[in-house]
Amino acid sequence: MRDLLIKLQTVDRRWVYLAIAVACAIPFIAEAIGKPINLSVYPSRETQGVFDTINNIPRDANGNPTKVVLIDSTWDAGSMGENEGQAEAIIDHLFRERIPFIVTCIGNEKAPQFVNGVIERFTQDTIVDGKVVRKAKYPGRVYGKDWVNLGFSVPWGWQSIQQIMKDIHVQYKADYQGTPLEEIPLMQRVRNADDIYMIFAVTYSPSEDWVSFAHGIYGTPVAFGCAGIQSTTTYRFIPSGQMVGMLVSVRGSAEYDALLYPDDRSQRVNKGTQLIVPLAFGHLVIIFAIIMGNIGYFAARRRRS
Amino acid sequence: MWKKQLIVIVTFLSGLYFFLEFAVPPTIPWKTTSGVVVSKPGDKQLQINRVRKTASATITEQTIVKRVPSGGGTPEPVPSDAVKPGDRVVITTETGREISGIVMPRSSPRRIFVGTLTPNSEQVSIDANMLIRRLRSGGSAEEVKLDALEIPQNTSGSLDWINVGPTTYLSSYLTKVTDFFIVLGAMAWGMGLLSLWLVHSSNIRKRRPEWYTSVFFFIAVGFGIIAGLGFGRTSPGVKYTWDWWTYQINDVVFWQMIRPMGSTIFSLLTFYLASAAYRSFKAKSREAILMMLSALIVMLGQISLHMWITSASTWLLYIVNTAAIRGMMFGMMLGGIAVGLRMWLSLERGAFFDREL
Amino acid sequence: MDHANTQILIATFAVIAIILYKIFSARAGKNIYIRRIAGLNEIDEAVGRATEMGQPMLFHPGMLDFTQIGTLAALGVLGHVAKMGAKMGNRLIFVTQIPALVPVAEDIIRQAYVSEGRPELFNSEDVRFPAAASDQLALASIDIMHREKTASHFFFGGYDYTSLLLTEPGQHTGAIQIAGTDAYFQVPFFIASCDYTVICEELYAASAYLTREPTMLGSLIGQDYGKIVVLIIIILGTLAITIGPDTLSYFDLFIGGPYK
Repeated sequence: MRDLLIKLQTVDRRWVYLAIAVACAIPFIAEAIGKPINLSVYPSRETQGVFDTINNIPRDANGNPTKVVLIDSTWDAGSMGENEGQAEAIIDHLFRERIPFIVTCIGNEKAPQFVNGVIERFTQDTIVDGKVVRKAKYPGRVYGKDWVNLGFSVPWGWQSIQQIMKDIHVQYKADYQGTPLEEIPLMQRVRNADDIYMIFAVTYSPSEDWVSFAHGIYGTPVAFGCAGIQSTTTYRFIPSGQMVGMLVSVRGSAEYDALLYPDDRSQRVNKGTQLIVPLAFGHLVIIFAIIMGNIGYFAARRRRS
Repeated sequence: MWKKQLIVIVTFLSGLYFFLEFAVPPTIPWKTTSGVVVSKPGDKQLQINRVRKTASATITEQTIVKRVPSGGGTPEPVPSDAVKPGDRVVITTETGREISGIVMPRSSPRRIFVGTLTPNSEQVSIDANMLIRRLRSGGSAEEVKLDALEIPQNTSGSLDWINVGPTTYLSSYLTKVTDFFIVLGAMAWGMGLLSLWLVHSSNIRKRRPEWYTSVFFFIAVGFGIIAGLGFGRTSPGVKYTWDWWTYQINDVVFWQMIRPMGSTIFSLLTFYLASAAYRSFKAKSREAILMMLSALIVMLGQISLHMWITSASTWLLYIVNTAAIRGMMFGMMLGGIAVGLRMWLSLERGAFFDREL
Repeated sequence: MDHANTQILIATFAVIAIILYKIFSARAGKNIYIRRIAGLNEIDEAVGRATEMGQPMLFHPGMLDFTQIGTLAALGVLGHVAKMGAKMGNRLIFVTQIPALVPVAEDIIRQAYVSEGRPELFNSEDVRFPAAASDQLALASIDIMHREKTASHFFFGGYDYTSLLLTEPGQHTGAIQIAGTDAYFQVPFFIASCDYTVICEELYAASAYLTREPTMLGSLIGQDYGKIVVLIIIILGTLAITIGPDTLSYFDLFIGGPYK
């Protein structure tokens, strides 16, 4: 018996890989056979902070927002598992509240396509082989009026951020399709930090320069959407008031989705909501593996002593 | 060798420029006039009034701050951190005392200093080399042009607080220096492509083992360039022009190649993470037990299993983790200064600033 | 912060002055004690082991640009590794994703081999630029690990998510691995999969520690005095906020308050 326990310490890593793969696949299989597994979500302080800040955008007498939200989206295929849901949740909220937004992609030339894919899912029907598989949630939103994608900008860190806050028309001359900014209605009224209500930087590890150069100088609220690993280093900005909130990995987007549609579960189609169950299963397998490894370790230690 | 020298010189000069740009004030301090703009007597002239400090108010949650609009009128309540120097405010403190006056530059969201206009005013003529910097809420300043300054009819309302003086010229080259580095960065990319090109072409020429993989490099570069040409044509209603096929290739490269391949590499992490955690998280010592327990709590907190676990994980992340990270940050920033100084003083041995190894 | 305000200027120059003072007083020949950094001590051991096995070593300088402090510190370590490799007569393979690092690294490694009298061991094809993206470089590095059967791996510099992709295969091939990074959220991965890890600011201290030159060690001491100053300010701030908002606002006046 003890030999068996000791062996738990040295299970071949391929078994661990297999266990992870199976655990992550179970929720998808369950969904495919029509028995989806659901998890309850408790919105955390950091997610609530982002949600409340966007809701509190100043509006004029007609109820139209007076400022815009800037989304710096620099994620691509690598971290799309974590970041796609975050971008989707925020864009869903902005479209719903009719808050215009600007997308920038500082330093990642692949990013504009990916964020465009998310936006198009909201504004156009998804068609596969001539059939509509997913209807657009907000078909009435217009490019240039409700959102603008400025696209890639050279990766020169804080200088780009400084320039965007000072005068965005100097940093960007045209949008990602090459249309001059002066011809875009939304960009005619957005010039500098005074016209930007909030910044949401979403990528694997958002640049902390947003905090120093956007919030630090202009007091613009900053929020991050980041990978779970990276989040531990940016939590420090929330209690100090330098950041209004943060969407942490898949959990953040699932929580945000729950805040957006608190009562209607069928409306929650966010990537985060889809991925939170496989994530939970994966975590449980890792925890299980750690416990097994420790049982083996203690059995071996007892034998030695 | 000359390449190394060039890199050393460029790095040194850029470091020097960015440090000076940060440390040297944008206007010459002893020739700078600071105060509120009251009128514009001439085409190229501004009349600036000094403000004398009269009172200060500590801001608490009970304090009400009201701002008088530009040109006078009824004061409107504003958040205490939204007032900027030059604003005329009426502050009702916690004890009910009413303080009014013009906000002074040294105010912070926790304490606002107010003052009154003095008869002491100065006329400044604005030349081409003069820089006008208007103070914003929070104490930072923005550069404004003379025409952009809105001067109210009278001084009974909020005013603009400006610092005006001859420029030190450092900040005005910031965009140009940045552009220079952008060009340099692009050149480095070109160098990289060239270097890859040389390596792979020599692989093919010399028929090195597995030379055929080098052929794929050239195919991939060609595909990538064509895909880049088709970038940005994904919007609805795209017209089928002669180059529509570049868009098709872009679509294939992005959504059928880069996306699945990138995600695959990233998801390898899951497996590596699991095996690394399994191998290394052993309760070998008291510290290891502590670390393992906190890791378990945070991991369970990530998946919203129960309210209690989530709050325990929140406590760990907000309090314990923040303390540790801040401690490391202080050490790293000071370490950064020390490394920078060693480089500049050419004390660093072994790195490229050193002549002999 | 666009430009330094008075408080920041004073703080910056005060820290610089402390460090400079310590550097120059160290020249006077005072004995300097520095705590042991295991990861840096084991570099020689790792080079020795690779030499004994007759297999080359791999050096990865992270994915940051060459102007970043992490990369500069990594180049300092590279100099030491190359020198040890030359002394023992072993090959060093260098991979990077930054094109500008190629000539610099080539120069550092060549000089190290020449100064030890073993120029024939240096081959410029061992300084490689396989890809310009971190994940592709990770795959290329794994390929090199398997193909060249590298026995010692050194990962120094700034890292992103590819840290684990780089180190886990080395763990499987049984290579001795030493890592050092200033990207603190990658530190746990390195700790889990490497034999020794140099954490954050220890990386910045690496070249001073390895060369043991008194002037460089002096800068480390100066840096620690800077830390004491920061600590005092933190304690004063904590006291100010505990006593009350009035004290805190006066504290702001001297320290510069929030967003300035």
